Amino acid sequence: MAQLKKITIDPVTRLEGHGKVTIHLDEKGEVAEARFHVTQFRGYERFCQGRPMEEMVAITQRICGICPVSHQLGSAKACDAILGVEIPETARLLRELLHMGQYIQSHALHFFHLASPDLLLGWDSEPAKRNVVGVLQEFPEAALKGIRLRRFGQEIIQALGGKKIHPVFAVPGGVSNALSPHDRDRLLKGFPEAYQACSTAMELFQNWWEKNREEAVSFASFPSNYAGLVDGEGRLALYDGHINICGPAGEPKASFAPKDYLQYIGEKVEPWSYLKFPFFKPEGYPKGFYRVGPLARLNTSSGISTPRAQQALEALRASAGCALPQGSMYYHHARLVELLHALERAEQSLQTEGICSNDVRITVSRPAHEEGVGVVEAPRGTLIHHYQVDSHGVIQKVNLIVATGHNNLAMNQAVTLVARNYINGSKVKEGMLNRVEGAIRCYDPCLSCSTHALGQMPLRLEVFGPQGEPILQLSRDL
Amino acid sequence: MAEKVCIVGYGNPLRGDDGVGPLVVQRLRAGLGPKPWLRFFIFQQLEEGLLDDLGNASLLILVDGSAEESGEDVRWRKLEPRPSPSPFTHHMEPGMFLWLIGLARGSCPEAWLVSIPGKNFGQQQGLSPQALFLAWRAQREIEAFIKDRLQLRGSGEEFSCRAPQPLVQTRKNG
Repeated sequence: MAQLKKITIDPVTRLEGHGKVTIHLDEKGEVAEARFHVTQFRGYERFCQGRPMEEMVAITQRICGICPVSHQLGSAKACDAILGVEIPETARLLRELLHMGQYIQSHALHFFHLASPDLLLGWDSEPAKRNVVGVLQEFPEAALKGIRLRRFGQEIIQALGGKKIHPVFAVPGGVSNALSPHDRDRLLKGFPEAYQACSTAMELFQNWWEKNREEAVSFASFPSNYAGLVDGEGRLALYDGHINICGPAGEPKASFAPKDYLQYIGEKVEPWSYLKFPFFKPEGYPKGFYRVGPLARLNTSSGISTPRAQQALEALRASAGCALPQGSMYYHHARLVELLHALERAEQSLQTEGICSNDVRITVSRPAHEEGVGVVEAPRGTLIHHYQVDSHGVIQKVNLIVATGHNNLAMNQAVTLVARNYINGSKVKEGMLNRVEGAIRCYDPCLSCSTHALGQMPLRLEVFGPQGEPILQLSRDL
Repeated sequence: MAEKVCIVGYGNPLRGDDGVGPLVVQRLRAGLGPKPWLRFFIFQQLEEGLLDDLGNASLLILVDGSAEESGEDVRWRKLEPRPSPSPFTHHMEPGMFLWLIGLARGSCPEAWLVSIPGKNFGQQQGLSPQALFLAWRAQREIEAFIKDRLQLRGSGEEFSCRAPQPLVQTRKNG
């Protein structure tokens, strides 16, 4: 029998959560297939049943410690829809400000802590140093700017919600408290340094890009559909809007209100991962896969409403030589463009008259509808919270589609492409394996958020022969 | 040179004896009262975002519950800066934290780790009887340490302690 080799990277490092990659080689030692497995089980869609709707904002934001604000906002919007309320304008501004605070801290964290070790120290550098400590040693000034930039985002969140992680702020009907003029003025003072840190990040990235352009442009590059929220003028929208799906050349494929998502987005469960596989229904599974997140958002939108980020977007597209770059490494560039937009948008919000108004919540005693959908763009991509309730507002059913879930098929595609280009069974170098991880890291997956499929708890190691026959199977108890 | 002291208690109060560090610092804050040269911090974990909080501390005291310490006494250890990356972004060793401070400021403060052995680190509120007793002992030792340091340095800062807190656990609702 021909011997099939399997290379496993477990755990995948510098991601949020736990993942595993298996790469299947054929008799020649070439990559036949690669898969990104998510090995976490969470179960929120099940154990939230029976909870009062008002609790969902607090419960679901504990899905994650990196992006709790996104879940809080998605949940609050779903509850708003169930209550049938339109929240006060000040509440909408404050929710968006909270959201921008999270974008700032999340995108700063990703670039400086997770992505920059590969970019600044090199794919093939010593593994013991290819991490944030290595970056701090080699680029201390830049790294400290990144730490402070992340902290600035956390300060915005803390000023509104009382704490940096799992803040108490967005509630059904609005937000729980107003912003004080003192906090507003204090936060506004932080922007000059924050813009400078963002500018440093962009310079670092662009320097790396110019030196590694050939590899970067073709790295995990493949055509796909793209999805994201846009505003009434087709521009990037992170808090509210309608969902656009376009093809690889930008051709419009669907544009719909968030509440109609089920007409366009289906979900498939595969037995080898706890992460479901969303797909574009008109094109079926798996052909109808699409990407979400920073690059996808920029590719689906006509532009950005804030001037400096718009300029940065134009520079990105000029550098790519096209309006819709496809390569996975462009996600890092797009993330920095969004970071700049988040800073601008946060500053605009703080400068808006009425931001300190006390008109921040509408209270309603009974649900107006038995169903509600809340959609926001989380830093990693489109986040959908869909609740069904009874007449008392008790949760009957929950569906959560998280950014990393939307990107599931794309991540598998990226891993397969990179594995084929960089790994040969007879030669596997550490830097090559890191490129496979790096392909996943482009998508900044948040694995804690995205795994809600119920089922068995298989922790299996499987080796298959070239005809698909199982050669070896090992399982372990929890 | 005037002494500037930062005392940091870190740990998770929802994980049993892991909350002993924050408790010690709460009691120190209540006992020593406000002073311009003394600052108290309570964090869930050490992380790089805390670097700016420590400002220009000349003396840093970290207080933590430890599952690794054997014995039944408070242990003091002088810290040296040591870069030690963790595979997890949520965990940072005290030596690594000190190293980051040195990187940010250009120099490291004198730093001590006060480790209090714990028994229970499961999901629960409240300390074990041993940790509670050792928290009181750690509080007294830290107060004595600071007092000795101020006298040695002839800093002239006023130093007095209020009566020690009674050994009663309080449990917060909700």
